[in-house]
Amino acid sequence: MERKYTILTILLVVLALGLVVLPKNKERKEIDPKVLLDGVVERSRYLSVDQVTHRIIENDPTLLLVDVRPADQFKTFALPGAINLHPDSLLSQSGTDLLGQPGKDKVLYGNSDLIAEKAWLVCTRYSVNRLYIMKGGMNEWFNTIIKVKPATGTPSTTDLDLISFRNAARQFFVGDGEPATVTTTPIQKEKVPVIRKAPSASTGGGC
Amino acid sequence: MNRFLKDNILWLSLLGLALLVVVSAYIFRPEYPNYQTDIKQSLNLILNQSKQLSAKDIAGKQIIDIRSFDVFAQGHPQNAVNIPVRQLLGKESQEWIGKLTENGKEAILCGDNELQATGPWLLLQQLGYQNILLFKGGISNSGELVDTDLASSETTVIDITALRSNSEVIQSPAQPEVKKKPEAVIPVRKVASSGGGC
Repeated sequence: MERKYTILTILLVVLALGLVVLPKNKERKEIDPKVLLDGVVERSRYLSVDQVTHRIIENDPTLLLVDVRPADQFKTFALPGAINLHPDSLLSQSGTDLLGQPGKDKVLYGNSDLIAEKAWLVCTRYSVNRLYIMKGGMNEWFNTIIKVKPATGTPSTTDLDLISFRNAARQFFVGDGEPATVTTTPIQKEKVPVIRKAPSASTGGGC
Repeated sequence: MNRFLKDNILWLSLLGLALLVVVSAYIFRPEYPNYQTDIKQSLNLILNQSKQLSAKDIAGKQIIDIRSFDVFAQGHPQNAVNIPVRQLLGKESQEWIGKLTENGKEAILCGDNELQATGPWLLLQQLGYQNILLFKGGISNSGELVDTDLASSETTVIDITALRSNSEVIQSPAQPEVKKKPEAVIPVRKVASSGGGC
């Protein structure tokens, strides 16, 4: 009987050693660093400013804009519907609740890509899904949507459509909210000479 | 001895099984490098600028060029070592970076631009490679190190007055219009009735 207890004790010690050897149970699920590196090399996390702008104008309910710029810059100007999250609080309780919303595409943006890229990497490490970056950040958005450049040379139909969209988007953001119309030169009506026919003699007769 | 085995076969089997589990867990433990930073430390790295250097500060540092082999072959900074980004966590690269760490040498990570090196740098930081720094710029086509321009940095270029003014409407180029040929308008008069009377 005593031997059994001895063996049982050894068994428990061995299992305890096993707990030391096994990896620690992390408080949050983390993804493998090699998988994360593959994600870094992939470019699918980037959305263009046109794509994001289109979704803002369409009032896409699946879009969640996360502004990681300083609070003062966010107060001065931010994209409609954006939420300001300081990078330090991205994975706080409130940040996790926000970024963990199912069915939402979380789009990070800073002034450029650098802070958003780092925020994406840390959040992706902790398994935040459907996380994207607005490519170029607010600087790119401003230069593309607000400072629309007219097309040079002979623009294609696609280019013209894009410029029209950006003009309309610009009006949406800085104007009175009414969509802009593409300004074109009014068509001059040519004066058409009117040929008046002389009234033909009536052939009315009488008795 | 045989009697001992016979009496304690259940306990000894359990002990053997437990030993087997522990040894297997050790042998088949994940080989990838583990994260060395917790959430707070990782988040602090996002805004930490102390490990980011510009071109004038990189003298004496080992340059790691993370561009592809082909691009590296076309031109690269002097004394740069090429480790393409996909191979950064490979066994050889890890050993090489580990030796640098042991020797107390600092290395600086460079790519096409700052953005390309930012992700890999932050990942290495989280894996505990504190001696790896980030270059605040990129490598030009001729292989020179160039600092990041203003628009690509986190400095805002937004002109608030432009956002608030609504005076200027940018015109898109006039679309080609199809001209219609003018048509002459000929008024049609009512045909006089040829009614007669008696």
